[in-house]
Amino acid sequence: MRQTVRQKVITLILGLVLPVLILIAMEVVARFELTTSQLFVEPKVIFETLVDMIKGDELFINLGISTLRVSIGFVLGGAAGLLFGTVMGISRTFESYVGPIFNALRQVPVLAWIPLFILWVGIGEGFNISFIAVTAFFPMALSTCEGVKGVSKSEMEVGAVLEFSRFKQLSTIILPSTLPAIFTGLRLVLSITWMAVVGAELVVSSEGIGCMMYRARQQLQVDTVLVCILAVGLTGYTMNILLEQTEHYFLRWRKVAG
Amino acid sequence: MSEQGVWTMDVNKEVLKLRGLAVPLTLLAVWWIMTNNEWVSAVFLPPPETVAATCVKLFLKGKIFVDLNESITKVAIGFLAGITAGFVLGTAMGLSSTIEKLFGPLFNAVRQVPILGWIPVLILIFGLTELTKIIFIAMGAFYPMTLNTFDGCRQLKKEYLEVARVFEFNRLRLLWRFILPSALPSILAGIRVSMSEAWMLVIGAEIFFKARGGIGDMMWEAKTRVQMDIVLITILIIGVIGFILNHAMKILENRLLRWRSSN
Amino acid sequence: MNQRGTLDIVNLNKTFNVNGDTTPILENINLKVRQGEFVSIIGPSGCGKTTLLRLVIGLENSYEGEILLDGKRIKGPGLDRGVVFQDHRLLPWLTVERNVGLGLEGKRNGKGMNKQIVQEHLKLVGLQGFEKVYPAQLSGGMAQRAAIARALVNQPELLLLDEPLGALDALTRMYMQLELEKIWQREADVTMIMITHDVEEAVYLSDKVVIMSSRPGTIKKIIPVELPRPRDRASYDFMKLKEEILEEFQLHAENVFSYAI
Repeated sequence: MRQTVRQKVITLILGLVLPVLILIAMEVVARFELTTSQLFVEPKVIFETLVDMIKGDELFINLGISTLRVSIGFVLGGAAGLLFGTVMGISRTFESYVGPIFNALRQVPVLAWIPLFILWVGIGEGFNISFIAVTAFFPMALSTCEGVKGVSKSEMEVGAVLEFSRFKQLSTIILPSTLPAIFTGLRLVLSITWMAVVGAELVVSSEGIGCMMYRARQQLQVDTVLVCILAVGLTGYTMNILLEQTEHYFLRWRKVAG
Repeated sequence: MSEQGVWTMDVNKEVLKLRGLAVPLTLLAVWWIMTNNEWVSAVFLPPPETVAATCVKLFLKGKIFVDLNESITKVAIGFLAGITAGFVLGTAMGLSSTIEKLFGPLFNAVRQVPILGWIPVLILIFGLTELTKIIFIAMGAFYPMTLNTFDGCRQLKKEYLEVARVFEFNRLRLLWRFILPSALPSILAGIRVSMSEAWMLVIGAEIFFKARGGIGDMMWEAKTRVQMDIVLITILIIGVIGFILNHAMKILENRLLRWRSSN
Repeated sequence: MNQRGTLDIVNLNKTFNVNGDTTPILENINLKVRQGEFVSIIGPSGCGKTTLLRLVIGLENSYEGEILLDGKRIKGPGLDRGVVFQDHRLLPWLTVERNVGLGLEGKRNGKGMNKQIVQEHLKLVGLQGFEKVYPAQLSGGMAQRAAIARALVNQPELLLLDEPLGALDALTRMYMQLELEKIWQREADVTMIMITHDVEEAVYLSDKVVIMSSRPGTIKKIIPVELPRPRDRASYDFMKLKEEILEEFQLHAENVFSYAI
């Protein structure tokens, strides 16, 4: 829907109403000390903390560590899931053997794996990476499997008629058809791995943004906690945008096909 | 399970079931062998018999039911609160573009932050109480519900809208007869996702908030005391309950959405 | 002459405005339909016949000229004008019974009365027994019959049909033409205005065939069909009328024509 300039401005203003109200409320509560808890800080303080943390290394180092963990886990778990899911989708034999236990393990909520992993892997970096990788594995495998299975029968028949080799079938028919589902899986995995990393860092405080939040909370530093949240949100958002751009690049043909 | 894989041929159902058991049974056998021959320390992985025995003991003692009850109560309250709020906001945003523009940006911004990230803030504001956990769970249930309801309410096709106009339906009847029924599939999916989310978050809440009670707490205690068998059992229970909830929801969906085309 | 169900279209013009460019869609449409008449509108693709119908339905509102039902200007869609769309548009989440009764909701007829009216109309279209069935389980022809029943429950003055049989296969279509005529005859007062691209269908069913030309849409010719009913598709008069209409489109009756309209 094309909007006139006036409509666009109204949309923008409406969107800002709530955030501005919240900022004002925080200001008022903090300035006039309306609550007994000392936890409500003025927005100005938060901003100052933000600037300080950016200037110092703390924020970026921790953020970087968390992002690195997410990326590694994402890649490891995602790749494994991609492979596993493809095989499951392609070979019914494989699926009939492996499917039930895969689905059973999938029922366990992500966070419930933490204690087990801690007991098995300890609380070092190994824990972080392996835990995140596992959380990435399941959704990726599932999305890929569904995507592969969803390859239209008529397209496969074209391949059969043209006597494609198995490899060619895979690369020219199955893979491109599955790409949309794979990207859906990737988006899902991205948000899950971010949650996993924050969870892991809250529990096993080494470094990372989650850990920073934890310590700040213990020291009742609300401003730091809020800055961390902002940082995590922005980073997640940025990664999401990058993913979307990649998706658009790879799925250009979709738009042309209508 | 699918009826046909992409490459391999169809096999009958009985064989499928047997195959499905093959891997778990093999793993079970391996587990038994490894632990009984002490290739693996019992601390790391207790033998299956021990786990089974502990499981029976736990159920007989009965405390596990108290814990389960606690967790389920928290989930229920948080979940219901979350989906109610989600339904209200989702419908409002779906029906009124003004409301969408008011709440949308903030909603999407907050959505970027993983729900666990809010734990420190919640603890600071509300303290380490049961209420905080419930609010946390409600937040988790709130998001998927809002998104799905929002999508659902916008789904009504133009063609059906014209039917409503031809039959002189006022706004209220339009909502009741057209918009909500057409949104129902999305709404039910939203409830299902919220339920899974809430169940996961109650475990998370019990782990991260480290207050008393609940099955997540039981699992955490077991971890601290390096009681692997209990950890395994709790994982099993949590998984089973998650599965039951999901499955029950799917059955409900199928019942309520009978009108969808069958094959 | 304002009998119930009389439609007067006077000097109707409609243009489409995009960024200052105006394209005429309908030009100088004048049409009078009497009570109880069956009128078909036929024309090539883009001639505006659907737009014309939508204006009479009230789903589109910007035009110059007058559209009068019983002498009064129409103001938007209403229960006095029943509509049958090409895609039946039955609500998938309601049973056939509830779909057909859609127009009766909110009327204080009393529940028993409504149910009876629905039953009568199901009988009228030959769908008794299918009350509790969902639209997804119906065939195309059955769904369309339900849509017709739905449009008639409120006893509208006009029944407007937008290529009602267009989505059906050829055999079902011929069967449905018979049914449509029967239904119309049983609902004695209803004025029917139907858009179709099937010349034979138009000649078979109508009292008048309105031929439109395209770009801009105007009424080229109105051909009365005064053959006795039920009509014999093979009779000389029937074929002659068909030929007459087809000539307007520069086509000959020998071909089974299937140009897309």
